[in-house]
Amino acid sequence: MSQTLLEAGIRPEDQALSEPIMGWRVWTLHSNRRHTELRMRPIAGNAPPWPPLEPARARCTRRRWHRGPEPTCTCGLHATRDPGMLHRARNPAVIGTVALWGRVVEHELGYRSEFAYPQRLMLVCHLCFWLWGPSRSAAREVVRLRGGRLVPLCDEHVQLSRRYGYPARRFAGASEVEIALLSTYAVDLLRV
Amino acid sequence: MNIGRPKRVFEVEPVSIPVPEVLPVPETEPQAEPLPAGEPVPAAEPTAPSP
Repeated sequence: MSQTLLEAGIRPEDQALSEPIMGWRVWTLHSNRRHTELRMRPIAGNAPPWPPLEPARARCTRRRWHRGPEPTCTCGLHATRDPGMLHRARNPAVIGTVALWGRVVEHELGYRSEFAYPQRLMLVCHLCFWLWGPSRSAAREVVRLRGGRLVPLCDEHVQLSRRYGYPARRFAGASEVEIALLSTYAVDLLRV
Repeated sequence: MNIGRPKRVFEVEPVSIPVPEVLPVPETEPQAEPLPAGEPVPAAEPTAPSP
């Protein structure tokens, strides 16, 4: 692999790290029909949900024969070094820090890893998150779309969505869902 | 999400996943079995008259 890396301008790292690398991610949030399970899913693509209490594992959907993440591929569990980079993510419901381990490819602005597990999580109103970032995006209510996708919203955007007939039903209070999410993944609340 | 160009590759040791703490369930007092239907309830023992 070293020759391939050098040809791609990537420096192979011989030294193994004993501590996980920390990164930032956003997810969408989903519930089952009976409202008894919460699962986080990647924002993009049709990847499976992140399983609770076991690590998420990278799988390459392009070239299945290699171990993910291959440095010259785009596969792997993506995370950014700076939470500000997630500002323009598409409709996130949850922001959080993640521990990354196994094979980790370091990029200029983030990482792709073989294994990952969330460390701290927080629900966000995606409209406030888009406008102001994580520090001013606290959600008050969670609505449920058809198909089970959950959308946390602040008071102002709940009212706005009702005024414009956004096809969503109230699911629960955001704090209630947040506690259930933290309990599901056995992690702590992210404070920003 | 564009994370730029790859720079380095690391091998990071495995991490243990948090496991929720399971609290011990307190032992409950054994409860008296309910009497079968129709069986007379035993009378309470007479108490000594107070002086």
